[in-house]
Parts: sequence; structure tokens; C-alpha cells
Amino acid sequence: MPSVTITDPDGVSQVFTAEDGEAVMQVAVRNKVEGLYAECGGSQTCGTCKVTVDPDWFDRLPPPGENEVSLIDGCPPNTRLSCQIRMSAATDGIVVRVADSQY
Amino acid sequence: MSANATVSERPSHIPEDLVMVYPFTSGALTLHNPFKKAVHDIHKHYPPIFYAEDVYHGGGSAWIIRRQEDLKEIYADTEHFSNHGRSVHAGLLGESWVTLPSNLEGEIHDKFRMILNPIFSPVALRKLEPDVAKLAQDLVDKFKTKGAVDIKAAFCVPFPVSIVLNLLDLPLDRMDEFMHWEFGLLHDPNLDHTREAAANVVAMFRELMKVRRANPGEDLVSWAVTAEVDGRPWTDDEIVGFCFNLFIGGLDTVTTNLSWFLRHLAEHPDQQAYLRENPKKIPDAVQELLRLYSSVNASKNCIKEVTFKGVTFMPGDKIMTSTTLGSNDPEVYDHPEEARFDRRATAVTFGSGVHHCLGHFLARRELTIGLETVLRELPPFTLDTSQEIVVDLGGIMQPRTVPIVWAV
Repeated sequence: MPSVTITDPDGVSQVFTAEDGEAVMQVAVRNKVEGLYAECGGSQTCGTCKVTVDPDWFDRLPPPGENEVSLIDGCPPNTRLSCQIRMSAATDGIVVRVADSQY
Repeated sequence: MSANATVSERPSHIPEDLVMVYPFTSGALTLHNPFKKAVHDIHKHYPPIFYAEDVYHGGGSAWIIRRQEDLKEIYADTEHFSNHGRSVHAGLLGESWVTLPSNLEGEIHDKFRMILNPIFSPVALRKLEPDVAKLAQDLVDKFKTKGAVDIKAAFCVPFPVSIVLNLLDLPLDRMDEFMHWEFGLLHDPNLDHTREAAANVVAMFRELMKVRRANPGEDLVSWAVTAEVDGRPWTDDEIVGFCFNLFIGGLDTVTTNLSWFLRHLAEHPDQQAYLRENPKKIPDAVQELLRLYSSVNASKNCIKEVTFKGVTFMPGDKIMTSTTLGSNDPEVYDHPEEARFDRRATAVTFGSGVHHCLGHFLARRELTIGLETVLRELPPFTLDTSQEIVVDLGGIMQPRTVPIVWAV
């Protein structure tokens, strides 16, 4: 099973195992990672599951769709919605940090 | 229950044992704070899904969903549940516009939402912040030496109104007129007054459209008259629906939240002192108070028969999406009745799914700046317990007054 390293806004890093196809957001919510709210549940409307992706990983992800872009436009570099990052063999070991503020 | 409620005939698919008396019906009042006990009593004693009769003003029943997990599933299930066709105020005027984007569904909804997201993003709102902070400061300056005030009337109502005036680039001296219309739309029990207020608001927006088309500025109406969807300009009705949504969504809900938050701090001097000493924790406090005082109880229509957690919903059934109950679910939160500023938990205050509140970033900034300003400018304040506080229950749970006192 693929794994993901998530660092919360207080700087605490944890490694989590994910189901294949699960979104990083779901992994974070399931493990009650702080600072990530995911209020819309993955509908790409709330923009409260933002993470910054480790630069080594950022370019390897499929680019964001129009909807996601409308929610991360203007955010710090390497920001993605974690509901749009799918865990698979290709993302096994990915490293993300929860945005300092979702607002 | 309100005096003029009528009893509707119960459809045959509603099981007798799921029909419950629900205390939060529109028009009902209480002198208690429902978030202290009544909300939590429902979680203790009621089934996860129950049916309440005549919960809406003048009759109208609904399924009530108590558990957050169930509520999220319903928000996510656009096959069986819909917001479509619920623009009550347009109906009163005999017009056909829909509030936008909240009452649109499907592909056209998603297109509008995608265009609107950047307008209400944290990045876009950062530019407004100095203006918002000044509006808050100017309002508090008017009463800070008085020693006593109904802070709802003096701050919680005019603050969001002045921000919306600002977004529309309208003069602040129209504040009283706006507040009067807002009351008419949302709180006046007389339907003729509601219709009149809706007519005034819509007429203002239709006039503003003309003015801003001729002479566009930086405001949201100017933006909407030049915006495109699907490669075409927005229709007049779409612009009206969008502006109306801004008006109705941007005013009363922030007023409600701010009123509860300030009442809470007036009644919890320890937490008030903590935030005075740690203003950086105000956003965490806002997050937690938004959870505890989730006040919006909207509804969806069932559009296709479905059996959900053992209960059958039929097309035409109304499903109340009670954020009040969902955000206080004891299966999700340890002691949900307690405000714990370090909880940093997610909730359903702004709904969930595709209709998650478009204005939530704006609301959060307003609430944060509102609390920062009041705590910075006023000395420690307490609730004036010599006055009774009437609370409106139902669609939006809101105290009518928040009388506070402080030493001068």
C-alpha cells in the first residue's frame, strides 16, 4: 500500500499508509491531521484541504484541473488541494505539508 | 410553534414512530440559549433521522438529519437531493431568476462556481482587509466609551452590511435602508413586507446593472456585468440571482455568527481574557465557535426515491440540512457543547459538497477582524443579565439582542 508523509502546521510529520486510489485529503481526515478541514468532502468547492507539495514531487503530479486552479490561484508555490492528489504506486512516498492557513 | 402554523397532511410513507416534536421551528422563540442544552438534548434522545411536522412558517414538514456523517452523504448525493428551484423571493415577485450559484445544479452550477471561486478567494479578499478593518473600527468608535450597548444592533448588524455596501461600491449612508430591507427579507413575519423588501432589492440591482454597464468600476456588479459564462455574457436574471445571493447570504449569517460569538465571550470571561492575551489564537477560536454555533438550517428537496439508512425518502420530501445538529454531533466531538479553542476541528457550518458556502472565506475574515477589533477596543465585557434575550429558532438561530456592559 502506498504511503504519504504529512506535516501539520505545527511542524509534526507523520507517515500514513493509504489505500490505492484514496486521496491524500481522505488519509489526512481519517487520521485527524490538524489544520486540514476538507469541509466540502472532495467536491472542489471549499478550498480548505490545501497542502504544499514537496518540490521533488510537485512536478510529478498530473496538473490541476480548471476547478482546482480556481481555488488555488494566488496561493504559495507548489500548493495543491489534497483531495485531488490520488495515492497509487506513482505517488508512493509523496511528502506534503498542510497549508499554514486554509483561509 | 408559531400561532398561525397549520397542520399539513402526513404522507403515507412516513412511519409513525419517526414523527417527533422538533423544537427549532420557524417562528418559534426561546429565552434560553439553545446551544447550551436543547441542541444536545436532541442528540441524546432522538433517532438519527426523524420527521418533524410544520417546521416551516405557515406549515411544511421535513426530515431532519441529526448525524454529521449522514448529512455529508446527503450533501454529496446530487442524484437524490437537490437545491434546485428554491428561490422563494423570486417566487413572491412572480419572477423566475434563481439565486446563483446556490440554487443551480449540474454543469451550469459548476461553471458559475468556477468563475466565482477566485472572486471570493483568500487572495482576492486580502485586498479588502484594510477597508474591512476600518469599517469595524469606525463602528466600535461610536460606542466604545458608553459602557453598555446592544452589540448586535451596534456592530453585528451594521458591520457585514457595510462590507456588502463596500463590495457593491454603494455609499455607507444607505446602511439604514439596507438594514431595513434585510429585516424585511429574512425576519419580518408579514409576507407583504417581505415581498416589498425583495422588490426593492431587485429594483436596486437592476438599476445598478444599468449604471455599472455605462460606467464600470471595481465593484462586484461591474464585475458581473462584464463576466462571461460558457463564452457568453451573463443574463440580467443571472446577475440579479448572484447579487441577491450576495445580499441575502452576506448579511444575516455573519450577523448571526458574530452575535453568538460575542455573547459567548461575554459569558466566558476566561476565554475572553485568553484571546486578549493571545490574539493570534482568534482564528482558531473563530473555527471552534463557528462549529458550536452553527446556525443555518436550510433544506434540500428529494428528487428521486431512495432508502437512506433504513428510511425511505420520496420525491417532494424536504430534507432539513441542519448544520446546527451536524456540527454538534457527539459521535464526532467530545463534549460538543464546550467551546475548546484548541479543537481545530472541521464541521458542517458552511455545508458540504458542491454547494459549500461560496462566501466562507469572506465570512471567516469578517468574523476574525470583528473579534480582533472588539477585543482590542473594548475593555473586558460581560453580558447584561438584567435583560431578557429572545432567540429566534428555525432556519437561522439568532439572538435578537446581545446586551453587554463594561467598566468605563
